Order: sequence, then C-alpha cells, then structure tokens
Amino acid sequence: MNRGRLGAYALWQIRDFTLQRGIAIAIIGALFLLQVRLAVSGFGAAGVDVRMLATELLGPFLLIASIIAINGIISSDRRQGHFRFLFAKPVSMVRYYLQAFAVHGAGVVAATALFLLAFWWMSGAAMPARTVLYSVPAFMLLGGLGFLFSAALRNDWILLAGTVVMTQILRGRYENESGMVATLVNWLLPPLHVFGDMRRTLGMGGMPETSAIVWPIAYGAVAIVAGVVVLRRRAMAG
Amino acid sequence: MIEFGGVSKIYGGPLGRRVTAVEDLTLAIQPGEVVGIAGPNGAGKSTLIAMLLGYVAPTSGEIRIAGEPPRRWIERHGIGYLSELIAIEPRWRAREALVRYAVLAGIREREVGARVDAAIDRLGLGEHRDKRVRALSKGNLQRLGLAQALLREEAVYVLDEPTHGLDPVWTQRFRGIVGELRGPGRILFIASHNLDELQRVADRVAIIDQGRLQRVVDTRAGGSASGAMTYRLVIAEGADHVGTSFAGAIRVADNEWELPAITVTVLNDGLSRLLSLGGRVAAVMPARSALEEEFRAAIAGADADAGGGGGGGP
Repeated sequence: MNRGRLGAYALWQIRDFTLQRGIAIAIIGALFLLQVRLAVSGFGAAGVDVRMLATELLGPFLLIASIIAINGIISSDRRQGHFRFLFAKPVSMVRYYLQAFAVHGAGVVAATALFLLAFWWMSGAAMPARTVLYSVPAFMLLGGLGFLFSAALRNDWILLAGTVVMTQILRGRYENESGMVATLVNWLLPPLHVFGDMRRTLGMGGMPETSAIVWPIAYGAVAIVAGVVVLRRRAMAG
Repeated sequence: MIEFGGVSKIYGGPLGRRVTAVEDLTLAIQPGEVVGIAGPNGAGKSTLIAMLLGYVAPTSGEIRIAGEPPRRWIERHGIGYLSELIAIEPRWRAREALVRYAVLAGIREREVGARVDAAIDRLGLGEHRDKRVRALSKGNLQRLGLAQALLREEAVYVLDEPTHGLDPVWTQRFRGIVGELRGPGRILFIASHNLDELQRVADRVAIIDQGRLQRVVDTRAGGSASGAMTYRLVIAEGADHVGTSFAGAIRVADNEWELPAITVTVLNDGLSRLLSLGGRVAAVMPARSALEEEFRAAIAGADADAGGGGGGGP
C-alpha cells in the first residue's frame, strides 16, 4: 500500500491558507497601510518619518497576522471532526500539522513582504529588504505558542492573545527589578521584548544581535515540540 | 487481524464524574471476516471505533491491528473509514474533497482523476460532483463519505452506521458494495443500529451494551443460540383456536398474532393443533431476525446484570 502524498497535499494547504486566512491578513494589512497614507498626507512636508512609522506598524501587523495564521490550526479540525477522514488515510498527524505550520509561516513571511512592498508603493520610502526577516522569529514565537495552544485547547487564539497581553504587562512591571520573580518573568515568559529593537535595527538597515534572533526562535521551537507531544498524547476525539 | 485485548475506556478525571464507556472488551477479528457491532445508543460503539482508529487511547488493555498499535498501522497502511458523523469541510466541492482524500490516501497523481471519477460513479454522485459539501443532502453526504472510504482498496474497512440517511435503493446497493469488498485477507468492521442490515452482511455480530461485550452472534449459523424465535402468524379461519394452540400468543391485528420465543418443535406442534381444530393458516414468518432475538436477550441480560458502568463516548 502507498503512503499518503503529504508533500503534494501542501498545495491544497497553500490554497486554503491563501483563500481563507490570507484574505483576512490582506484586509488587516490594508487597514494598516491606510493609516500610513493618512499619516503621510496629513503631516505632508512637515515630515513624519514614514520609515519609522512602517517599522512601528510592522509589530502589531505581525502580531495580528500570526494570530490569524495560527488560530485553530489543530483545534478547529478537532472541534469540527475533520480529523476523522484525514487521519484514516496513511498520513502522520504530526507531519500533517507541522507541514501546515510551515505553510502558514511561509504565508506570514510572504504577507510581510507584500506589506512592505505596498508600503514602498504607497509612500515611496523603501524599507531594507532584510526587514522581511523580522517575520521569521516573530512567527516562530507566536506561531509556536499558538501551535501548542491549538494542540491542547479549543480557544487557542484567546489564550495566545492573552499570553501576549500578560507578558507585556508582567515584563513592564518587572523590567527594572531584580529578585526571583523578576528573573522568572525574564526567562520564562515569551521574549516579546526583543522585537521592538529588532524591528528598528532592521528598519534602519542594520542586523540585530544573534541572541535576539535565536531566543524567540528557540522559544517557539520548544513550544512546537511541546505541541507535538500534546498532539501525540491527547485524544483527537472526545 | 484486529485484536481488542481487555480494552477499557473510562472518561472523566479524578475531580469529575467517571464514565465507563468500554469495559474489559476482548474480541479478535480474522482477515476475511465481516464483523458487525451492535448496541443501543451509548453502548460504547463509538468509543470502541475511536480507539480502533487511534483517536482515543484506551484506559487499559490494548488494541492491535496486524500486531501493531492502531495509529502506527494506519499511518503506514491507511484504513477505509466511514464515520457516523460525516465531517467534511463544508466549503469544499464534492469532487475536490475526494481529490484531496485521494492525495492523502497516496493514490498516484496520474491515477487520482480516474479513481475519483470511478468513486463518484460508483456512489451515484455524478450530478453533485461540483456542489459544495454544505449543499449536499444527508443521503448524498453519506454517499460522499462512503466514496472517500472506497477510493482505494484497503485491508481494513471500518464503517460506522453506513446506511444512515440512505434511501432504500442505496441501502440495497450498499449490500452489493459490501459483497464486492468482502475478500480473503480483508476485514470489514461495521457498526449499525440496523440489525436487519447486519444480519444480511455480517458473518458475526458483536453485541455490546453498557460498555461490555454481551455476546457474539454467528449470523451464518441461522437461528438463535436457544433455538427460540418470535413468529408472526396470520390465519384465514379459526381465530378462536389460536389461544388454545399457542400459549402466550398475542393478538396484534384482527387475524394476526405474535408467538413469542418458541422453538421450531413448539411452532409445529401448535400449528398441527390449530389445523386439527379447523383453523386455516395464511402465513407464518419470523417476527424478528435471529440477530434481533439475540440482541433483545443480550440487552435484557445486561440490564438485569447492571450494577455499575454505563455508556457514553465521543
């Protein structure tokens, strides 16, 4: 008997991502770009730094795009029962969802590139090409957490959004403090704080420190591994 | 071979209510067999099938398909599975859904179109091929579910309520499909509420209730284990003599009686008596199939034994 052609199925996953989540991300991107247009036309020659504006907008854009991209990646199949026919075929559940994660991640990177191209077309200010790279650690961290939450729970996007908000609050509270709690907050919570500097450095054509890139990627990778463990252990039905 | 070895499934945790969906169930299914599984709602059928597919892990005991854990075997070989709940993405079109499943089933690129079209023709879905799944009727959705299970030849088929929602024509055609699928080395595992259907297509039927395997009925043996069956008697003349000929006969219509659980000997003795008294018999037929008799007896036995446990599942 043949094994399932999971690689070929990636084309269907790309199609699904583009037609469903891609459109939603495009609408969000358009709303952000509208902000840019209003800012540019409003301030005019008085001079708003449009590059800095784009750099700052990239953060919330990627946060929302990542949430849209990862929302329900596993939990919606479980909730709606789609797993029943999918995984009666000779395919690995783990490989199927890791491939979906990769497709969605590539979609977010592509959406970021399109966002920056549209920004260039609209404002005339070109961002450095490497700014696109910002989307890789950002999606690895947010997408990895979303993957874990989706493997474990039904309302994964709420948990992901809540985690982001709580992390920002706790990091803000303990940022300049020392002690056990501050150390735990600093090392255990998702390293969202590295993204601000990373965006600005990339936006100015520089290269962030390696540790600032590796930390969120490693954190996201650990979350993905934990998600795989949960996926293997947790019942799909019931 | 499929083996259920002392399988139990208990839902609920230490803080919540514990529900025993399946309890210490042992059953072996040999290649070449068509085995049915019957039981009332909440008996544990769905949980048993979910465990066989590896979608739910047993609390204790083990399930093996050809000696391997279910998920490992399925991820290497695949299984022809029709679930009771036909959950296919509503946005997909019928043919598109089958193409997707064909790709996941490992059908070669150049064969996908032909296999999908053959499945569409086989299940009579030609006029619905471009409809979205959400636009299909219950019967057509059921046939689409069956079509995806039949895309390629499998060693194991698990069909959960396969005739649910099908009209009589397609119910009859389903029997033909089971006949075509039956073959040496192949296992068909069919769960159904329709005992008449199981009587027709299965070699053996496992009856479960309250999570426990109550009995396994060999449907090819004919008659129930006790030899007793319930008959329906229609007479042309001599209604007054039925009661004296058959103790316990229940009148269900003007000229029609039900003769509860009697052996063939008792039936013939009663008929002789009735004829000798001047009665004239228009028809005698089993009121229920042998499987139905066994089912009733098994469920009654389970109810009498019930001291704990209960059904339920995903």
